[in-house]
Amino acid sequence: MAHAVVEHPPTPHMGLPLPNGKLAMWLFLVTEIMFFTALIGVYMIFRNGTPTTKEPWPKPHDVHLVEFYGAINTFVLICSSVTVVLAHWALTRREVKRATQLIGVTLVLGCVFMGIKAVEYKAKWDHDILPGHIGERLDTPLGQQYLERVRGQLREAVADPHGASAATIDECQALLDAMTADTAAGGGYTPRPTPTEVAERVKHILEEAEAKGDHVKLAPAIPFGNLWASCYFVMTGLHAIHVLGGLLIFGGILLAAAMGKFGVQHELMIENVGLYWHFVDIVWIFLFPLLYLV
Amino acid sequence: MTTHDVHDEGGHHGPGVKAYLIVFAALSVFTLISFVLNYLARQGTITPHQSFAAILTVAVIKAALVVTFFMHMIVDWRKLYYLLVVAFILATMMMIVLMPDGVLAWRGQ
Repeated sequence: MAHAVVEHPPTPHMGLPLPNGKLAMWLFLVTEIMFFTALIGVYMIFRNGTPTTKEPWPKPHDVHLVEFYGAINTFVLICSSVTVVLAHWALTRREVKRATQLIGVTLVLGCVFMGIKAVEYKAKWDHDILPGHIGERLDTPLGQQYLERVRGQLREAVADPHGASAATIDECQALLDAMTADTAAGGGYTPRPTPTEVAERVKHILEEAEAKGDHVKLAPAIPFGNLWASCYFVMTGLHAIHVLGGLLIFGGILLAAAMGKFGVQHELMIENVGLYWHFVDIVWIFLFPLLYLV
Repeated sequence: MTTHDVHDEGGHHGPGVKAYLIVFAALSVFTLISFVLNYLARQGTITPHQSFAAILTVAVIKAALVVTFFMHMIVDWRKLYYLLVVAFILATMMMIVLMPDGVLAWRGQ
């Protein structure tokens, strides 16, 4: 098989002993390095610069972040990195079928990563850990916004309990009554609870509900919770978009393979896709400890 | 295909399967280590500063392993160092520039 050695005609270009595609991919990855470095740098400013001993940065438990999910996702991405590098290896050995299978496994692993990510995002959604939704600086006008939000959520919870126990709903009703009490009723003056008091009672309701296994959607009050949520969603979201991009490419490769158009001539392409995928893996290697652990 | 072809291609396209699997095992172990370090920090066995330093070191080692072996830097370094060195310097400079706001502000408290 004399043609085996002429898969990459050594096209000379400006003295670089490197295929154009690979050089382009590395140039792209270098811009990506700067992009994610900026994101991580800004995150570290927020993480270290803003909290005080009185108001610390949110703990994973406060914001319903499960470290185990993050660790599993790290492992899943590492596995997918191995499968894509083995796919490239198989293709250099002209084992097209095995390479296709390994690309298929990579695609599945990427989907598992996105699935776990979706479960995590769902937990944030269910507990209203979303940018702008969390109670903060309740002694400022933000406190009134928080009251409005909680009042609406209490009304929803009471109208549609979603299987929450009667005790939890009663507590929600009691808080709602206190918050909407007619201050002139009965002749006496009963002040409505302040935002800080509401936050305390919401915290109590959420803790009780969690102990009972109930779910009730109420915005918690967490110092720097909104900043945390913004950082979390921007960083993991942009990373997830990169994962999605990789999955689309792997899907395209499998489609080409199904049509019989995938072969050893795509070795360089697989190497470049692999470079991209490993980079996405590296970004997660840093995001996981920064967001989940430290 | 001759063995020479395989050897030649193997030389051009990075380390072999064995190396990949060893790196994979190392990456898995390092992931477990960072998880355990975090657990120890939560238990109070080690301080948050120690766990931060250790966990970040583990992350750098993992990234270095991926770049060296999976991204074939072990064979491509000489062809690409001029790109990566520049990016590394710029990224480090960016972190240093941001550090006063991130670290010094916190130290001041």
